[in-house]
Amino acid sequence: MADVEDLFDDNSEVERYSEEDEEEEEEEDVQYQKRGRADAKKSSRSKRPKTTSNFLDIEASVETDDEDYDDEDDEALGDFIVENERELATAEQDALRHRSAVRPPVFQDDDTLDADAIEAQLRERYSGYATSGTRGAPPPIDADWVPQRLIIPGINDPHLWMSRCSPGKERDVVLAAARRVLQWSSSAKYKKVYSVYCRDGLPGYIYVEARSMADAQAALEGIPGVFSSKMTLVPIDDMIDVVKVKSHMPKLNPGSWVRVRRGNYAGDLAQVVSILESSDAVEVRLLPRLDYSAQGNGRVSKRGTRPAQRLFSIEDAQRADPRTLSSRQNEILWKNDRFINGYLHKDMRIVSLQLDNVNPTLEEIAKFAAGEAGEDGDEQAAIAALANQAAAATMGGVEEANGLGARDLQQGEQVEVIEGDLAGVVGVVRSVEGNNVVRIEPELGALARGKRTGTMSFPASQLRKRFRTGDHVKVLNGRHANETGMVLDVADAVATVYTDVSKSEIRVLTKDLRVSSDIGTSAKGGESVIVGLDVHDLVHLDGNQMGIVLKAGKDMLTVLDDRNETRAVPPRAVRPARGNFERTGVDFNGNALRRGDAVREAGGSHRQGTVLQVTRFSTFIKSRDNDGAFAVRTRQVESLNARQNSLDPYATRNVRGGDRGRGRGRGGRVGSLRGGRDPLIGKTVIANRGPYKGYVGIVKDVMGNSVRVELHTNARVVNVEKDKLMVRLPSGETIPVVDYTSMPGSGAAQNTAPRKSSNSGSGSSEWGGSGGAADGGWAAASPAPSNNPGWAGASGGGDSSGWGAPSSSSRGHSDTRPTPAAAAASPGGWGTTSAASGGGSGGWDAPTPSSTGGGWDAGSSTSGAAASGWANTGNSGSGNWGTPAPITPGALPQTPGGPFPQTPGNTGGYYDAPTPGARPSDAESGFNEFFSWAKLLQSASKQSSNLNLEGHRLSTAILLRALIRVQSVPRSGTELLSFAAVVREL
Amino acid sequence: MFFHKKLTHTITLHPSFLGPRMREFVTKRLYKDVEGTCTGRYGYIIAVVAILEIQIGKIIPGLGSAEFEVKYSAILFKPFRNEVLDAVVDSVSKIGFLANAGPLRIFVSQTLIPADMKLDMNSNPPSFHSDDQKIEKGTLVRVKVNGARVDATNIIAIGTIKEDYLGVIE
Repeated sequence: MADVEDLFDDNSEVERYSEEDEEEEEEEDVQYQKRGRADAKKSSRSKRPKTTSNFLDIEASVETDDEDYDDEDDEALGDFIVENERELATAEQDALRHRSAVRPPVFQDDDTLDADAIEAQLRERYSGYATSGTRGAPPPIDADWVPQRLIIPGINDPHLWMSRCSPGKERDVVLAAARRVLQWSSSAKYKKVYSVYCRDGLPGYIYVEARSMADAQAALEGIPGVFSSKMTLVPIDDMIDVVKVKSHMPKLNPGSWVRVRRGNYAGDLAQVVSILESSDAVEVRLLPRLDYSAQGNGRVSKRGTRPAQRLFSIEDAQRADPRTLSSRQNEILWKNDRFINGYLHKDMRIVSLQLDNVNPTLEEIAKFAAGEAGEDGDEQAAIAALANQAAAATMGGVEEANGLGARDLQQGEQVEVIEGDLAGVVGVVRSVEGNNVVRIEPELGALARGKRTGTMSFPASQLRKRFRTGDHVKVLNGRHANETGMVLDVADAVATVYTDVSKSEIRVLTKDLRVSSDIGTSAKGGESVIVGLDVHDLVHLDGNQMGIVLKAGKDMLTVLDDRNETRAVPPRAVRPARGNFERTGVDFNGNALRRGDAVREAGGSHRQGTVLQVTRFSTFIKSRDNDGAFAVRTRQVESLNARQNSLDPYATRNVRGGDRGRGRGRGGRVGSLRGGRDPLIGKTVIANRGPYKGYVGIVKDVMGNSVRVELHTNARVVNVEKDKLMVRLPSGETIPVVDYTSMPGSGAAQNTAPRKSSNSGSGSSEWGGSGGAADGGWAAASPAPSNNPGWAGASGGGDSSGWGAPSSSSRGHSDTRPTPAAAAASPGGWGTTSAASGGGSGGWDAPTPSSTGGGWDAGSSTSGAAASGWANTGNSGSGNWGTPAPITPGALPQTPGGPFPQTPGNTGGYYDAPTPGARPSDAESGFNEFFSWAKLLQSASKQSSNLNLEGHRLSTAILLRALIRVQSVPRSGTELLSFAAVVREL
Repeated sequence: MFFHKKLTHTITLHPSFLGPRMREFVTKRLYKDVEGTCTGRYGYIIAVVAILEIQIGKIIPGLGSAEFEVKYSAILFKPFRNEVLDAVVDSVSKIGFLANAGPLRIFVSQTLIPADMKLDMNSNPPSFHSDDQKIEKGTLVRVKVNGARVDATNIIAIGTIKEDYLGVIE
């Protein structure tokens, strides 16, 4: 790899000069300076008179040695201006190889050979190589890339000898040896020495590439500082390592942060502006440390305290040294320094920069970014992003602030090798080891067919996470932490992600992404988030205005107020609305409006969407069309849910009857445990079927058969049918909601005995407590189905446990249509009716408060017969027996309907309503009231068939209400007609 | 892609429905329950084609409700990666446009729209247009699905028109 000529370039200082007049010229004119190592620094800085020569020889440099320059700074190399000389880039070996092919060799000054002659010589010298491999010959510029594997040295190649020398003398020795070899080549004393070189990082060693040891020794013999007698052969396997160049280049990108190693700006943070074509130098920008009062070149000597970092000030410069101040476009030149926007722009060699472990602190970046204040927001945002990124890297302790750390990787992630021999290989992370080493299993596709692919180790910095468009990802770190979305586009290490929640595009480093199926709830980012405020939360703004949060930024909220205006406010300007109750509103049609309802604007453009938040005055709606939010007056919103419900055969009752029924129920259930609140509210439930299967949430409200559940996962409120839910009890057990609601005391203190176990067998012992006479009634329960052929048929067998269910299920079908069984006039039939409609909370609760005593006789006369009917229904829920017993002690011995309390007992809350237990009055009278109503109802339902009301949905509740209205059972024709009218009205 | 598939669904009927019109209830309930729903496994259930069998209902012990297992065949729609779909543009925003392919919403980002199509938010309605084509609300486009996120209740897909033969359908 290292040719003899290269030696010179190796040692040469190559610089880039800014040139005033020829800035735009076509191609980079590279200039070499050859020089000994010792004089490298100074000569480069020498301010030369105008010269037409493109080539400076060693001697010329040496001459300048004597000149005294007070400035020792290495990084000042590129700053001065020399006319007619081009900015010069460095010599990396590979670049040089190319160069040697296209321009005259550098030692033209030393030798008299012209370019052609040297080229011919080179061809001749390396012609032997071609047969043994492609090695050595400069590859044609457009040649296909030759895999590195094919050019590793073999036994036919020249060998490599290693020799010791005095540390620090390596370059001198190499130069001396090179001259000697060159002399040989022009004389007859030609020896096969191909290269002599040293490693900068390996002091005290010289390598000589030659065919034989004698040749190698001859090349070094007699050169001071070298111990040529002790030469060791480098094993072929190690030869590659000797010349391996540790590459830093791929990490450096415009915008990345570096630190200056030496000089006035040592330790200062700098930002790469651009990478110069030579790829050995970069243009960086720094906060200048200028001492305007200083004489000379404006920089302070090393011994003095260095001035503070401050943006360049034209005024100060004008005052201090107006002569050297000039400006061109947006650049200002002063004392050979270039300033743009107050920043010092310098071309610096990469070696003089620290690329790793930069870890810029936020203060440094803030200071750096302060100069951007006057510029457009874009750049500021870019800086903010950089700051974030740098901060994230610092916090994570990632070794390389710019690259991927092993800690970012997880087993199973797809990665791509971006550096090294295997660049481009795609694989899956198998394990992450210490030292930032990652084992990956490469996916070789067809190559690996039939073969078992092993794993390979890579440093994490050589890997990059790989994502395909369409992958669903989660952001792990940075400003967008916790956001999720789909990958739209991946360009190098930056992915564009379409977020799930905010429906916007964000740009994120791939190292901060991970494939994930969860859906982020908000734009919450790490610690910078305003506590307690989430997207779409309702907030109080100034005055009486309310709004919702559209975006919760770092220290700014975007809020949509109720006038439909979006504004950005600091978080302290808003007050979160109290959220422990559910706000509702009344819509255009008088229907209740809640969060999550599908709605439509009643006027205007009829925009549709779902309700995000409701206040009394305004409703915030998430548009169906573009997912944006808008505010509408609550009165101008039309709920679509209400309409949908009316189409639903199940839900007809839910909205109206159910709600009203519940409303009345509250009045009746004075003594109930929770003041009329559904026991289910506030309970944690799990959906076990349906689209929300597996979701966990808290019950917010119960509306008939459907339950509004706030999901744990994303705080959405959804409607779920009761039968698809299970209640999670404090004990961790789960029972179906329908079972739960039927438990007295809402199951809170109850030993969760599901009704199944409480069938007749186990029930009998509890019966004992209420009196032996009741046993007969209980026994009568068993043949219940035979009393009710209609039911038996419908329920396919009519087993007794099935019978128990309807009476206890509180599904809110308060206006169950009259079933055939209900029409049957038998006492058993009556029992059935009550059982079927037992769930109708409104139905049962309603009559109680307004019940009259008039039905007493009727009730008592049928009580005996009804008893068996009641017993039928009563055979379930014996576990509840204990509860009602103490409340109605008087009732039990007196009426054969002793089992009666059991039935309402099943239904938990309902129990309290119809029975007198809630009242101080006499238990008996309560019973009889009840029975009188039962009787009334029975006859009413009988009558209803004569009323030509079949077209109407005659629910028990409606019948009862109608009965209450007319105060008696219609018997005469007029009574019937008025009754029918009432029913229709209802 | 569309599929015709036999599926089963269990319907629970409250005892109050266990009457003469029971089958009708079950059928209605099935349509209501499954049509228009979306599952991760099968995608959208577009329509129930036929009810193949309604099994004899079983009373749930202790509950009284009856469970019917219904076998039915339905047309399913499930989007796949790299599938090409025709869609109707629903809205155009500055980050791209949303198109509907039946029940499926496809988002096409600006990065996945050919560079020659420029966004013009000032036109009414907002549109992307190149010299000879225009994408605005209502335009028919041919979109390739790049990826889909499957929720419990819906599927959101992203698509591209930045390939040959994709884009506005004349």
